[in-house]
Amino acid sequence: MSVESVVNQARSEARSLLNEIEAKQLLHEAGIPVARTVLAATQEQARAQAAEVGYPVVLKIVSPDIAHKSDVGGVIVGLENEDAVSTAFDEIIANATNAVPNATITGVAVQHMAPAGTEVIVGMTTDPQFGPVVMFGLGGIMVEVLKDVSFRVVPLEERDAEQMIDEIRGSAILAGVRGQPPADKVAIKSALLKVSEFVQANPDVRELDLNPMMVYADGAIAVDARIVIDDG
Amino acid sequence: MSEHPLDPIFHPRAVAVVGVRSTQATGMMGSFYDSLLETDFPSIGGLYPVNPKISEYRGAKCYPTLLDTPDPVDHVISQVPAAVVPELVDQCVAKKVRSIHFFTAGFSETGDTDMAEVELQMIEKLRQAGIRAIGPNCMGMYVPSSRLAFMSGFPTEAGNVFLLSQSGANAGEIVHGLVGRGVRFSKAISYGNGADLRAHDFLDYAAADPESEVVAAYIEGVQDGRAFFAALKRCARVKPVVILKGGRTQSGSHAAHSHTGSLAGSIEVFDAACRQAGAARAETMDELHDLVVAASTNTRLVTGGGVALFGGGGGGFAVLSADAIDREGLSVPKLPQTAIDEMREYIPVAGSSVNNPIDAFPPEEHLESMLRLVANAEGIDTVFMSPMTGWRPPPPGSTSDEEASQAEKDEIATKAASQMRRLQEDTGTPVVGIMRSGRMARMMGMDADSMSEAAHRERIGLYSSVARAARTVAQLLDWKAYRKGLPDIFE
Repeated sequence: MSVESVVNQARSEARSLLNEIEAKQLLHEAGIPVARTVLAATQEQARAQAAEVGYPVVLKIVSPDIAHKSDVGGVIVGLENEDAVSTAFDEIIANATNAVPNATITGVAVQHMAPAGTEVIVGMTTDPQFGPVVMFGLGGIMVEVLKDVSFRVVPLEERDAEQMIDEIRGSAILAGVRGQPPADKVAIKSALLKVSEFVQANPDVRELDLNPMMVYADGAIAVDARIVIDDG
Repeated sequence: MSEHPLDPIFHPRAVAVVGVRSTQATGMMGSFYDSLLETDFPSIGGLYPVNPKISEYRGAKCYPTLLDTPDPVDHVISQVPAAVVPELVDQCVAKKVRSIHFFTAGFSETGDTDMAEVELQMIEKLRQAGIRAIGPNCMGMYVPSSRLAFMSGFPTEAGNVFLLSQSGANAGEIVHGLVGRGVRFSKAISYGNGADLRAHDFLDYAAADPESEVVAAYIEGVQDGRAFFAALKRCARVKPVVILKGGRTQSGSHAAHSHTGSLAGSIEVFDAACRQAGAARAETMDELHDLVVAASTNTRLVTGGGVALFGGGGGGFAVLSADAIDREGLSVPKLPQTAIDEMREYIPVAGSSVNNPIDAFPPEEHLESMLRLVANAEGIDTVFMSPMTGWRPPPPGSTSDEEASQAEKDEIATKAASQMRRLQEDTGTPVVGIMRSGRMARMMGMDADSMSEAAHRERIGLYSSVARAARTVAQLLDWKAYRKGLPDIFE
């Protein structure tokens, strides 16, 4: 799947927001670790794909008309077996159609549920003055309430990525508090640098979120991903 | 002199001021001809007033048009109304000038699309003729070595600080403010709308200019963000650059579809670009002044946060000062017992403290020994001290209003400054001067202006309070930390 073909497909449908499957596929191809996620159009497909990506799984609605999946009951987590997947599939479709009656439903994303880690956000946006910039922050309330984030202008050098991680006020959390093992800063650094490379190579990308990205003592993985492209 | 292609515009052989006022003008702004008389520009080059309504200006022949002035004219200052500018542009092309500074306002900054178009066209015409433009809507150039000045009261003595400012009023504020701190300038440019030459051109020049060692900037909106960032990176790599950004816009763009987009406010991104480039960002005018002083004096040599605070101010002053230092993440470490014991020999007086802060007035003959002891003590990275002048409270009954003469003030200041310099040279520990202004300074027998000049001459940074000195040192240490991996520009 080339970036160009995905971008063209989205534009032909007058979408500036890539769907989760598209976004994750492009990021995966760019070497950015993302949780394996596949699209299911039917219950049967969902069960087969759950077995393939590995339990436990998460199911999420995929619709160009629904930007905030959780708000409409479009996300169900912690599914351990086939029966649970079947029930969840129907429930998600029903919730989505109830909340947004005329929504186009592309399908349901089936994703292997990554274990909990330290949640961070890695993102990119296009600044009106400086062009593409990359952002880093701790996930959850640290970013929502405290806006504890750092920025750098693309392209990033290694020292930039290192400083972004250390610059946030809550950086001590990454070093491990209350007996938690330290988070893998090398994996975060690598994700920041790869996002910088990806957006530099693809000027059509206007905004990007890996939110959250789970960081472990060894490695990191983006659980959700969002890519916004220029209108063209 | 620099090889940079912009260099000739800073060294014009002759200047024409077009649109000198036919009536008696008052006020600080826009009296360019008068400022050039004040700096005695005519002693090194031609200075020609132009106005068709008068034949003489300030005792000199006034020319009807630019084309009537003698050749060559390298630089033109335009004070004419915007409506007349297109005609003046044609004359500049015919006259083959190098550069034109448009004090004239009323172009793109008004938001009027027609006037923005006029600005675009005149710049295009000038560009085709190889003429560079500064402005419109700005104060232009202050170049002491070329006797160019855009305001009254600017010194003709040249220094090592380069200033670029989008705002003319703030350019004046920064020059006057820093001159009062003893700083001198290589060049200062107010470039207004930046229709032709803009921030990245001047940063690029400053990076290459051997006369400029420290760069200060006041910037509102960045034009050509990528070019600006690239030029800032090149300049900040080799010279200390301090930027004050005016105009905070609301955090986040309304059109953002992502979390990142909603969090990326203009000031956050600007701040990040400065850090990434290795430049320092000042939050206020005071911070800009303090950071420029720090970067152009030996304050820049401070490498750690252990502060020895030396100088009588009383117990409460010492407590608040220690708090201010602590608040900035620096420390006031206790001195080793051996140092305390040695100092006690010099200061047996009860009521004084020889621990850190050292709140004491040592007898003059012991002062330097004590200072050395403190500066050399373990854990001390810098000494904050008030200039020591051997001053003693006047005997009872004497009048405290007697003013020392300027020469006496200068002599006292020079002595105190060279003492601070000596201490630093002998111990290798950077000395940071604390000079309270106004009545507090006079009560201590000091003149703050004389002291600022003398201290800066000796490369000692002088700050108006412990709190400001502490903040400056903390910012400098942070600056050095995020510059790690870039060339050391503070040696």
